[in-house]
Amino acid sequence: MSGDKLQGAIDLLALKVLARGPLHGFGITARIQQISGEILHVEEGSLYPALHRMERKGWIRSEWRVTENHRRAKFYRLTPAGRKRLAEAEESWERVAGAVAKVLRFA
Amino acid sequence: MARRLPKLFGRREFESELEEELRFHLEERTKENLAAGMSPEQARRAARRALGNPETLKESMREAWMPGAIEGIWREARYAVRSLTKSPGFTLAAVLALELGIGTNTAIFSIVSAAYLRPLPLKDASRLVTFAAPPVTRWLPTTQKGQASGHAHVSWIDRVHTIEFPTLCLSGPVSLDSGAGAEALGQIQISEVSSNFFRLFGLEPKIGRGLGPETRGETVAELSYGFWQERYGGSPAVLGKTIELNGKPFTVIGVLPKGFDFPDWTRVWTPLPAESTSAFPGLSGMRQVARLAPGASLAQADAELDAIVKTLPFSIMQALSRHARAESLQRSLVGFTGPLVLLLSAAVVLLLLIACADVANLLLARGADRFQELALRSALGATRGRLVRELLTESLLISVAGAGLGVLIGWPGIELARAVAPVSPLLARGITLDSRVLGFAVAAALATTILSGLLPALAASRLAPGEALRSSAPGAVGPGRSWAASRLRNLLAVAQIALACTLTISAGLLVHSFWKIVHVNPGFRAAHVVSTEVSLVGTAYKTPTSQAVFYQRVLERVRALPGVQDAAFGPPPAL
Repeated sequence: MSGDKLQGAIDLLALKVLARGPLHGFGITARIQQISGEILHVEEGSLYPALHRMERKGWIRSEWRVTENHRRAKFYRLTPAGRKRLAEAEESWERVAGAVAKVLRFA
Repeated sequence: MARRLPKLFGRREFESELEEELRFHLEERTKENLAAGMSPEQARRAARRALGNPETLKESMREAWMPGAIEGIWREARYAVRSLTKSPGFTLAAVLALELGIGTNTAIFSIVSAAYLRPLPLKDASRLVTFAAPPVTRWLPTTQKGQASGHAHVSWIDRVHTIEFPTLCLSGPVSLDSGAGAEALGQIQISEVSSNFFRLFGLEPKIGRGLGPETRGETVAELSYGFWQERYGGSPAVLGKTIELNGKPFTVIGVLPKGFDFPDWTRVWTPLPAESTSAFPGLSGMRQVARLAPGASLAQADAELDAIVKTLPFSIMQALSRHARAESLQRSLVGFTGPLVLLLSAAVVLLLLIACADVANLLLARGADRFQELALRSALGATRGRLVRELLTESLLISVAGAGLGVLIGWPGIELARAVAPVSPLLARGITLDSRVLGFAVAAALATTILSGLLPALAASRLAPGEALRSSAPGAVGPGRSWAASRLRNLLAVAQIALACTLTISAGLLVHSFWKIVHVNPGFRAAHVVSTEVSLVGTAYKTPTSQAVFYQRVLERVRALPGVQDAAFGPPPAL
């Protein structure tokens, strides 16, 4: 996969996780890892620049909040634009995944 | 955009937020690792390893906010400002050196621009030419014996095809009288002009009518706008009034538009008399101006005039140059001040080069001081191009600050030059801080950036990170680097001294020439001698006898003054 696609994958996963509610960067990596059954490990060094880039694009917003453990953390929240973007990204991902599945099945 | 601005401006806050965000991540990951059974040391290390190089990470997080070229430039400029304000002494010295260099260059360039680049504020000014040749009208100067030689006129000008509207004017000071034999009011500059003079310049009078073929030989006068304002308060009632010049009455028929006072601060224009001689025998400045015919070049006009004049009878040539020469009006107005202006330009360019060498040396020294910083950044992945760009941005800021201050100090210089320039006001008025001069200042700033900044930037960013770090251990100096940099600094020092010597010697020679001009031996002792001019034309002293009595009385009273040894009257000294 090209760097671009990889980037797209990180964006998609982060947006999808944030669609369930505001979360900080570490929470996002943990959630992805947990849900994927420890299969997907998000490159932490790529996640944070991706979050900042998406914030600049207006897909997500950040605010400082206090966690359950009374620690200050930067939480990201999906914006309406981000929701739209997520729908688009999901659709295109499914198309690609479906195409790959077909190839695997029939080739 | 609203989300971006705080990131761009609240830099410190942004940085601390980056730190905190990553610290939170590391702590959470460490906790998780501990829970998974690692030792505290292992847990911390694994957390850091997972996150990667924090500096690179922060850099790419910052860059996430700055994708465009503008943000890049903005960031670099901010970085440069911060770095420059950290060493205010260096910055001040460099800016002041360039301020002096760019300021003087801008001021002198405003003069060069007015003399050579800016067209005269006249209609189709580039096609106006002056020519030295026998007069084009039925007028010739009185000969040595006092006889008019107008009979010798040959209408040679009719044979010339390369110029049109040939005009002649005579200029000089005359006394302005209040009329009725009362006291003279002072002297003013007037010009007697041939009938097509106003047509040549495309002048339409502001009020009244102009001088033309129909006013030829009449005793009428055209006033300059300035004279009209000063003496008549801009009143239209001036038309038809009488003005006395050297005791002769002239009727005012018009006023010219603002800004025209050619030639030489002329306040009143009168028509040349139809025959032979001037109405004012004292007028000495003769000038002939014409317009190049369509399609003709200056060189063609020059050649044609010369060829025709050579065929004229010798008698006409006696009192005049044997050679007819045409040159552009602008060129002739610049006259002898041209070489002086160019000499000054060369001097200030040298000064600017010295300033550049000076700043380059300062930058090199600074590069040596910042060696560790640069080496570290290079080791952390900053490319050489990036470092050079940053160092050049600093140079650019220094140059721009220098140019800005230079224009500020150059401005009064420009105003002064306009006020005292010994050239026609048509030229002097062009000495201003216009867009061309400002453009020159900008160009000078860019040139000094490259001249003073490029070599030091290349030198400072020269070494491979490994070597740089090795040699930047406390107390150590990299051998290769110090050799290259010190050689560069030596070269610069040599260049600086050479330029300074050239400048000093040129300045010395210039002062010497001035000294020689000022101290030229006139053949008598000029010290403690003062002179003044007295004009009795058009005053109450009409007869030679009454004038002689007047002079005698003046001399007696001046000799009686304390501190005066002797006094005498005579014709104006020809110095």
